[in-house]
Amino acid sequence: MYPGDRYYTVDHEWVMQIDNGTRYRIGITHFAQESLGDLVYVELPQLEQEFEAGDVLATLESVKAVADVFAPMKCRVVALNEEVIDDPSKINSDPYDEGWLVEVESLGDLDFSVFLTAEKYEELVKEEE
Amino acid sequence: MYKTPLYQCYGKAKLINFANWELPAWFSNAREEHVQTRTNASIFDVSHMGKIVVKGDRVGEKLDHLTPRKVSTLRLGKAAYTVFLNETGGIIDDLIAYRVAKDSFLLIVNAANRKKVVNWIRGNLPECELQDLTFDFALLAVQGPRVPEFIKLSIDLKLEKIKRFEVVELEKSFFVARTGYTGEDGFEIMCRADKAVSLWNSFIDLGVTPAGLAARDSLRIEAGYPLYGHEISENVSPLEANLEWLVDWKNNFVGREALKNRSVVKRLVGLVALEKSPIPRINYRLFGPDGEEVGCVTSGTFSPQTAKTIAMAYLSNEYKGNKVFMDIRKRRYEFGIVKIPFYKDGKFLI
Repeated sequence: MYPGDRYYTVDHEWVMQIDNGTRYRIGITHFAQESLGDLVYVELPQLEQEFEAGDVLATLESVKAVADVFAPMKCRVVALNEEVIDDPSKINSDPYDEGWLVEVESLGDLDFSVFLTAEKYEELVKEEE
Repeated sequence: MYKTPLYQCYGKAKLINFANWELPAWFSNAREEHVQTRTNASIFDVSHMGKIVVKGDRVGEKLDHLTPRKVSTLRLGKAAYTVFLNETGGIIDDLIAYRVAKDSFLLIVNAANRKKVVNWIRGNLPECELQDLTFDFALLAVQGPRVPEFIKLSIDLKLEKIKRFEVVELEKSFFVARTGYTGEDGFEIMCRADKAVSLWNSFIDLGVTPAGLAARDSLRIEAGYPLYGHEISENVSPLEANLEWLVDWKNNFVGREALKNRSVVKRLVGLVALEKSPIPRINYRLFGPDGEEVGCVTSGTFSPQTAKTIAMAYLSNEYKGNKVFMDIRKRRYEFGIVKIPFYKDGKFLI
């Protein structure tokens, strides 16, 4: 349920390095999609937009809830998953692959200490459940 | 938090706190539960709703004093949607009143308003006997176009013959009414708490989909039904809330004089997004083309079968445009103004 090939955050996001440099793909976790329920609206940032760590990067809505996705690092947006805008249910059905949200270029030094491994994240989820 | 007699039937449903009751928001998928209700059949646990019986000599005439439309004219086995008004003409609660005996009415009221309504009736009609059955009974709503065939199999063949807004007491303390809050045909069944689980399971075994509050909300918005705390409240009169049809001016009810003199400055309308839009939420602000503020949202949802984003909203009566702009986060979105409801008699009107 929590693939080992990426990092996780306490805000229930995943962050995956997709080249050997500074490019990262971001999405929400299985736990997050399940708590939000059936998603019906996705608001993504603009390409080239820059964010500080902790800024609101994207907003997801189900009929019952609105949830912000926070920038996990200082970054610039380099790619958007247009398919989840057209069909937000992809985030529910496949949060780690087809349901990714944005790709960013990290700006400045990354603080890996804020990220959790899959094992650590799973422990966090068990506590929240 | 309170739990209903059906709590054990929730399985892996996502639970939420609603008016201090722990209830399912959805069982597996809110959209699917909505569509099943529109096309097939679903079952909701609505046991949290207030269940009040008022009894006494000429109780109908006495209740007429509290409701703008007369309920005394209801024959045995008939039901009516109505409201209680305060002295200023604001809505204390909306309810369905069922005449279950000559001198006895069953009132189904909102969970959040149960205590307030009990006190209101006791204060105004001290001579009537009042029983609050909320915690002793369960209430199940079975809704959808295929419900008549399921109810025949699950309960009784004769039930198919009950008409809209009729109620029968099939056996002692077992009431079946043809009412609902989804815009579909369907039945609401009130039974003793200890009978609820087997009744629920009998519908599940027939293939009826269990559905939660999220689907209940999106269904009632499409059907244009008000929800207390959203479209209606103590600050809103029935003349503003599209409920003028509930007002019988010949009836002498609490709030009548105030209602007559109260100015109607806003109206409840439907909104349909003219572009891809986030879900409109309560109190989102509405603007005219010149940037003037003209109203605010009361409820909104995504209508899954039409793929449209819809809302109910109050608009100033002075505003004559056919479009409004809604501020959501950093952007302004355009909505067309339409009549409520969005869905009626099996058809979408948007």
